[in-house]
Amino acid sequence: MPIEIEVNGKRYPVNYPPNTPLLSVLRDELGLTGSKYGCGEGQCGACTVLIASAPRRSCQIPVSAVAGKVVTTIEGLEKDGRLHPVQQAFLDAGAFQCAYCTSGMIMSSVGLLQSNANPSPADVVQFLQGNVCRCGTHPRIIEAVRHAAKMMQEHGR
Amino acid sequence: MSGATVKFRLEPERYEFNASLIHQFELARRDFFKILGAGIAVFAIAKDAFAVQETAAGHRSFHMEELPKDISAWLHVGEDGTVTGFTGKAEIGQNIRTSLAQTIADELRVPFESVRMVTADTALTPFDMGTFGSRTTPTISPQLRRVASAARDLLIEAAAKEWNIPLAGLVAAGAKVTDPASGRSLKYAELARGKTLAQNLPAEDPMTPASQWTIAGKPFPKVEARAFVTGKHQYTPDLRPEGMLYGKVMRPPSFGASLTSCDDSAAKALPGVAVVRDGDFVGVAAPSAHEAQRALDGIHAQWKEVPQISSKEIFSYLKQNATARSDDRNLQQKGSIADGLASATHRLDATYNVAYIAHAPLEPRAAVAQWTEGKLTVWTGTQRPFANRDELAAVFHVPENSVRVIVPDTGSAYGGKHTSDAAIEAARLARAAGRPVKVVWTREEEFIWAYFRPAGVIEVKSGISGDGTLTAWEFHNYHSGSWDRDSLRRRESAHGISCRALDSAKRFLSWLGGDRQSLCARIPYGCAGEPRENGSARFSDEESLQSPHARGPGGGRKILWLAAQENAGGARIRSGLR
Repeated sequence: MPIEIEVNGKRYPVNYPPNTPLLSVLRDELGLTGSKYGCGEGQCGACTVLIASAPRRSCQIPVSAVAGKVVTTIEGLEKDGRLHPVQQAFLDAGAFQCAYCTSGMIMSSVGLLQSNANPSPADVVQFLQGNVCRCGTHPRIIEAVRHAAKMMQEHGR
Repeated sequence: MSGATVKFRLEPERYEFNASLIHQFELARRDFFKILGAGIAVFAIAKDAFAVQETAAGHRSFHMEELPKDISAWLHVGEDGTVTGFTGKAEIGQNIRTSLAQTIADELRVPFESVRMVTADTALTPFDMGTFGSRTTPTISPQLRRVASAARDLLIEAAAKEWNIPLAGLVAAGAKVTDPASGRSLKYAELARGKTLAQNLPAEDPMTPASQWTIAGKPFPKVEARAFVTGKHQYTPDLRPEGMLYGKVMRPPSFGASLTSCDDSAAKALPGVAVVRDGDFVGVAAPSAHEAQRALDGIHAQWKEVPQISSKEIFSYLKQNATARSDDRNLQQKGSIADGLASATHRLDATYNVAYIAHAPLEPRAAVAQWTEGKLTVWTGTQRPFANRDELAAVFHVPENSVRVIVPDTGSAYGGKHTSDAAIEAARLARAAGRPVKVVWTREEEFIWAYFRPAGVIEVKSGISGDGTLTAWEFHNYHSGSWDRDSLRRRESAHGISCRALDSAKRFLSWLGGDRQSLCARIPYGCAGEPRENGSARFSDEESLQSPHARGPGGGRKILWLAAQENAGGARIRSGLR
């Protein structure tokens, strides 16, 4: 009997073996390719998703471990055509160059703002240590996260 | 390849860009209207030597008489007013899709949003040598500005004809041509309608001076930025064409190892799995990544390894095995080093060991390959789509026009994505499987099997006088780059041999790395150039003094650069030494 996982509010049966990394299931079986493969070692953060609202490296989590839990990927942030404030803030700040890290950066930042509504630049740096941007857009990423925090406080989100 | 007789006068590290290319002008123009429909088109002829070197078809050199004239960029104004700019450069995160569109919008006097860029597709764009060395902005941007300027003139002429009045006084702005005298205007879309008007660009067109730019040089959001913050943009590893299989390649235990035996019966017994053993190449393609991994794990291979130099020995190895070359243009000696050093007020002597460095793009090497009736299409994140096309054509013994390489906007490259390794692997597997195959390198493969920036030992002895004037400069660079004439010949002969064992691919692949314990001096180097257009990692300030720095090639050869007192010409050492 295949396990079932809930991703972005939809339930999916999983036919891949239970020890398959969640990232592979998301990308290859479900076609949710917004979460990126960068290292497969949990070191670069490009695969970050929210599991029960907490940012996690999906390349390090066997799919069986998320059965019965709520998974949110970058594709699940947009609601009714409206970007999540963090997405909007990254867009506004132009917080990317090649943007391969962007999905993971955004998911980690959403996680950060859930636990810290008003992070200092140092808080942002600390929290995003595990997300690698090879292009060097960090100043804009910090700016984007702080801008998102402001938007979320103003709009009560 | 037919390039064996070409005389090389390019910078040595550009030997690898000796590409033989097609795209004749008439053919391109015909294709162009077929693809894009009616409208107004302008083609830029590559103007200066460097631009030609980068963009023109055929073999290149600095012998002017050998330089073919060809198109380097083109632009189309469609019947709906859409403006399309074409360049063979690739978008790898430097945001040229945005900046080049700004340039065109600025010069053509149209809104930024009405311009789209078609980039790095060997079937659709002009030949380009590669996206490297921060060249896109200095070479392609002015060319697109020139074509946009010429297109604007064509539109004004078309309006004058329409109204049957002289050109003088007509104004192109806001995507339309206006006659200030009468107040009437025609939109570019209206002027382009029903026309197939093409023009070759004269070499010298007046362009809008930078002081009058309104769109270029200003901050603009990344084109299609929303697709990047929503995860919708598809990089090569995200592509999933119908019926696609996942490919995995067996890696040897160490650099230079050869396959002595291989039992792939267990892998072959798995349902839906294609197994390829072709010379030293062993790979599988399966309906899912985990099935591909299981198949690969089930293959038992024996390898014959060859001794390697350890990373501890690498610097002494490089220095001991360096060979000077008398024909090297960088080998110069003038004046007396001893005298220059003796007269110096300040001395700086230093030895710098430069390790092999992985380029480490966040998107690993990846390719999707699909064969259809003997024709190959490859999507891959490469800096050199046309060179990739040539390599694929040579490896698989098909004409260049049977291979199309498309570069999806790529998750960075940093000089590490010149070669077509993943593309060759995916194409070999796809040919065996009869279905599209995707190969995405793991990070482990990236760090072990991708080519690296060259390692080197740099020794400097230098002196300056009290006022900062250079009195002596002795510079030795012993490094691991090996892409010299000999290796080019090897590469060409590799192209010539049969692909039944994928030997030629193996040649490429065999240059790709060493094992974790013993990185070898023969690890190929790649261009260390920084793809970002700001060139932040370059040495440009010191370029005049450092021209033979570690980017150079040489198979452990020795380069001497010396500038002694009498030819220093008052050159002052840059701030780095002050």
